[in-house]
Amino acid sequence: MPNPSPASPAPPRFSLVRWSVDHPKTVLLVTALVTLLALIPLPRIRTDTNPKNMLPPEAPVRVRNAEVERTFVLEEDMIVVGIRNEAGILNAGTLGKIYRITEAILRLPGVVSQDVTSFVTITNVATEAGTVHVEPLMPEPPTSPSEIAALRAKLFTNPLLLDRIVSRDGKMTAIYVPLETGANGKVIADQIRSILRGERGTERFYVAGDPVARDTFGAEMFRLMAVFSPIAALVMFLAIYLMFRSFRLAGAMLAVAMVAILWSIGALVALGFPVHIMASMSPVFLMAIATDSIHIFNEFSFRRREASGRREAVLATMDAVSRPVRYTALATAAGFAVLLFMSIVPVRIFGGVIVLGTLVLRLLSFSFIPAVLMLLPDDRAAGAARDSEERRAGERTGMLGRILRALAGAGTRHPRATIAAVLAVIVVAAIGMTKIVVNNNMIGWFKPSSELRQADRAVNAALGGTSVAYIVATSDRPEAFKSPEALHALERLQARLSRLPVVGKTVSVADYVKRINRELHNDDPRMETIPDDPEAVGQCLFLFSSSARSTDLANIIDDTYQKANVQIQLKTWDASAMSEVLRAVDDFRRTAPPWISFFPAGIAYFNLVWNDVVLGDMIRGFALALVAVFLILALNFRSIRWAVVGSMPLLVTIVVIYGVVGWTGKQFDMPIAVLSCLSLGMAVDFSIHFIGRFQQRRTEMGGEPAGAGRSGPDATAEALLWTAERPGRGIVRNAILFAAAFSVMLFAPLTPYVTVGAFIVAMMLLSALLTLLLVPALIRIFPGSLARGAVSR
Amino acid sequence: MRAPSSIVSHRIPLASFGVALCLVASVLPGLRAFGAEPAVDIMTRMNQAYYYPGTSFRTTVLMTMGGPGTAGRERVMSMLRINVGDAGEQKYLLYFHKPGDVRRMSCMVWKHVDLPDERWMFVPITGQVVKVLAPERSSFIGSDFMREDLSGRDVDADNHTVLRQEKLDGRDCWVVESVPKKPADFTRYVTWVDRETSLPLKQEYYDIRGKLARVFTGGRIERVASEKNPAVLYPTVMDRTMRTLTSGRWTRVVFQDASYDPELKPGDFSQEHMRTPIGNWLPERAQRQASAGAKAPVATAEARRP
Repeated sequence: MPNPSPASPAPPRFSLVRWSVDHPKTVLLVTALVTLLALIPLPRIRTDTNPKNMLPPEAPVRVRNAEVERTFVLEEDMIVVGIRNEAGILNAGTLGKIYRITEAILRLPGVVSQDVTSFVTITNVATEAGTVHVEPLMPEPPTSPSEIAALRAKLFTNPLLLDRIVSRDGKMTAIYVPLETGANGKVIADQIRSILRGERGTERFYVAGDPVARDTFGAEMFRLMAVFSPIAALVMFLAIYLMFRSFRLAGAMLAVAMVAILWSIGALVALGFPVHIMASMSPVFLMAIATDSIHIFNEFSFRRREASGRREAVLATMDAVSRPVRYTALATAAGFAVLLFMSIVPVRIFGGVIVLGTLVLRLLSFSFIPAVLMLLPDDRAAGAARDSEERRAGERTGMLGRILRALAGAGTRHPRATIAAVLAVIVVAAIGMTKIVVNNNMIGWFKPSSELRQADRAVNAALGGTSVAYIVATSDRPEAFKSPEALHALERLQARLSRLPVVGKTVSVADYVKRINRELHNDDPRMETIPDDPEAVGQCLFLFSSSARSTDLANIIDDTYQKANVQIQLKTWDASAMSEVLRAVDDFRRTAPPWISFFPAGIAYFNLVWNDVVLGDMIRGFALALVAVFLILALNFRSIRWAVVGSMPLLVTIVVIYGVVGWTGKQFDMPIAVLSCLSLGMAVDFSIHFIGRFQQRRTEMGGEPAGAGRSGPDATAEALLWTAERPGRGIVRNAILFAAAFSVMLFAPLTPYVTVGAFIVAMMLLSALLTLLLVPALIRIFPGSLARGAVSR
Repeated sequence: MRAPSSIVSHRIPLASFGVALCLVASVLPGLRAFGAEPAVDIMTRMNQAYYYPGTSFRTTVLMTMGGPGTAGRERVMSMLRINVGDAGEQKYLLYFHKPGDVRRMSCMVWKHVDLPDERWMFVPITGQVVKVLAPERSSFIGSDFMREDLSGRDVDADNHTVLRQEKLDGRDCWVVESVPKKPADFTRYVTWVDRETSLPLKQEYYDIRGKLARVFTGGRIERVASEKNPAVLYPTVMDRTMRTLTSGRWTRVVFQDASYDPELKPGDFSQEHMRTPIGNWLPERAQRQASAGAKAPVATAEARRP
């Protein structure tokens, strides 16, 4: 790929830079027109805030979950409303509230009213003097002490109710609110909260559950992006202004970012894709990627002083930076293009948007930016920039320059010590990496002090749990789950699962049979067993079906009695909790009758699979991106050895960051996985600039290849120090801008944003630092072979 | 509630009402509802035609319950019914035959007019008859039918309005909207009443949010003879289905070997006879099945093809 060279008298082919420099106004006009065009599809923008759609509906886990839900008439999502009274809930006041709240929830659109579980809706079976009473547990709020005592007796003698709708200490109850497919958990949670606000008293109310977290997160994400994109833009604008003292320059850079964002989002919408959570992050990413053009402005601020005319300065600037700018854009695009091969559709769309945006940025770097540089009034803004540069030359070049020189100097003069120090850091970090725990918990994406986490904690502490999983037992035998043997197997499985601390409550058809058997035998607690006679089991089930809601039996056993559903309430949304359940089931299989098989389902299982798929995808993507970035470096430098040197700062940065993740005990979750993949294409930019400019400088200086001697100011060392000082300033400015843009996220209320922000800030600063320190050291250590690569160009 | 009487006596007035209404409707389309006979009369006649025909009744009931896309599970039972007195009281006996494990179970309902209905159940494993106190609007043996759907809802419990007349499956119908007078677990239901027979062909129940929740469809109207006088025929819905839209579950009830006015006395509906049905009460097919023991595939196979 030949560089556009202003030195050649007759350019061999059309040069976009040259044309843009000659027709700056046309370039600006065309850019503005295309941007207006990109605005046209924007009103049709569709959003998809449901993280569940990260997996397509035809993903095996979604297909199987849908099948289980159909078989057992279950709802996908459930909100859990907790009501707590420190003085105990069994008093007329609190019970009245439970009644009113339930009645109001039953009327909410999107709620599957007939499956709402609460004191008010549960049908209770009780035997009294030869009479079976089938009635709602609390048809209306009791008022007299005797009625309340009767309710207490019903609650605390029924293992089906204990831990489920009343806590053992009697201080907490829950209303389980299943949602219709496609209902928005946040919208319904907000409506429930407004119902709760209507109640006065000492009770505390909690709204918990995965759909609330999921949809709140989805909605928050878009909201945060709407807030953060402009703030990030403002921060960058100010940072650029402080660097160049020119509003026009800062404005021009911001315009570049905006144009790239609008073009790529416009294309996304025009192609009919919805904006998912991932793609909603693209503006901030593109803004950060756009900061790469700071190298052009940085170089221009030097060239403007050196060159005689503006046109020459622009052309000389572009000549100097075009190759690194082109390759950094390529590296970034390649890093994100890897996402196009992932199995998660929203990730692919996100990758596509960023790749497109990056290519647009590259196009703008060679047309729009030179045009803007031509149009900047000479004696005002750009002149001011130059003046201020010159005015501050003494102090600022001196300060930053000294630091940069010192950094590169350390690497240049003490390469072995530098490399040894970096190696030591790598060893410590590597030990940390072995401590990394992979886990994912969407509730954990909210801060511990958030209402959502508090609600989840409170409900999980007192009751069975807010997360739901199913273990479906199946058999080919006709009416298998009417046989006492099969029911005993379910009973044993439940006992095994209940030993896990993460399991709060399990319910299966065996529990119902035992309960009815006891009621049939005059409420004799000794009869709370599975009858030995299959006919008796059938009669218990018949009685149960005739005393419950029509879906109660359907929820736990299918029409053929060949599939039974063990419902599990988990006390945490950790993906690892479901892994524990799966291990326990595997363990149990060995002792279970061979004619029964078991498989998992439910939202907790979905979260586990989702977690694994995303994580696997990202780790694969990370490896692919590494290879892609390495290949681009090799292509850029036409040398494997230079590619190795160029990728070192990035690799060390990643090892250090994961080391910190491991040492601090932060769990390796999805946001971190996504990030590692994304950051590759961006953080490699620094070494592309550094090595590219170093090679240019070294060739310009001429003379003997490096390695002539380690003592004395040889040409290589001089070139390194020059690179650190001049393009190095661009690198540091780029890193600071990048970090500034993302540091805004550190103040987000959602932890993944804080993680993303911290991760990228650390990554940028660290890789800039390592580029300036480690690359010179490596060049010094292997001077001969590397210099050959440099000179061969 | 009016005295239960056979639909036969209603035929002529019904037809003349219909003719009159058609005339009014064609002349004054805008005032159709005013021209209609009072909705409460239509619903009272519907109640009579659906729940009370004859003095007594017996049939084999094939009940299938399933979910979306499933064949469902089947229950076979015999049903006996007698009208007691003129106030609208009734007694029902249900003997279960299939599946095998419930084959000796039975239920009895005494339907009262101003008092709550009484229900009993015989549980063979304990050998006891237990009284069951359950809300009218609760599921009948786990089906999509409510207890109330099977024994009838008091016409006076709701306010009725004729919405329109229209054809349903080629039959002229009154479309009546009923709104409960007291708060209930539904806000309204709409009934398509066949003008010829007064039988309900379709019913839509709307839940407390006003959303359509359950749909009843009555099909295959047959004229079933009285055992006492084969010339007297009672139009009867032989095949009915209730669908719960929210869960996708459905229950289908098919009558077989139905006959009116069998020899039954109110005293026969007793706890004693819950345990030991008298053979000739049951339709022949059910008898065979009941005596054949737990596994009686012959009757079932025939029963599947009504």
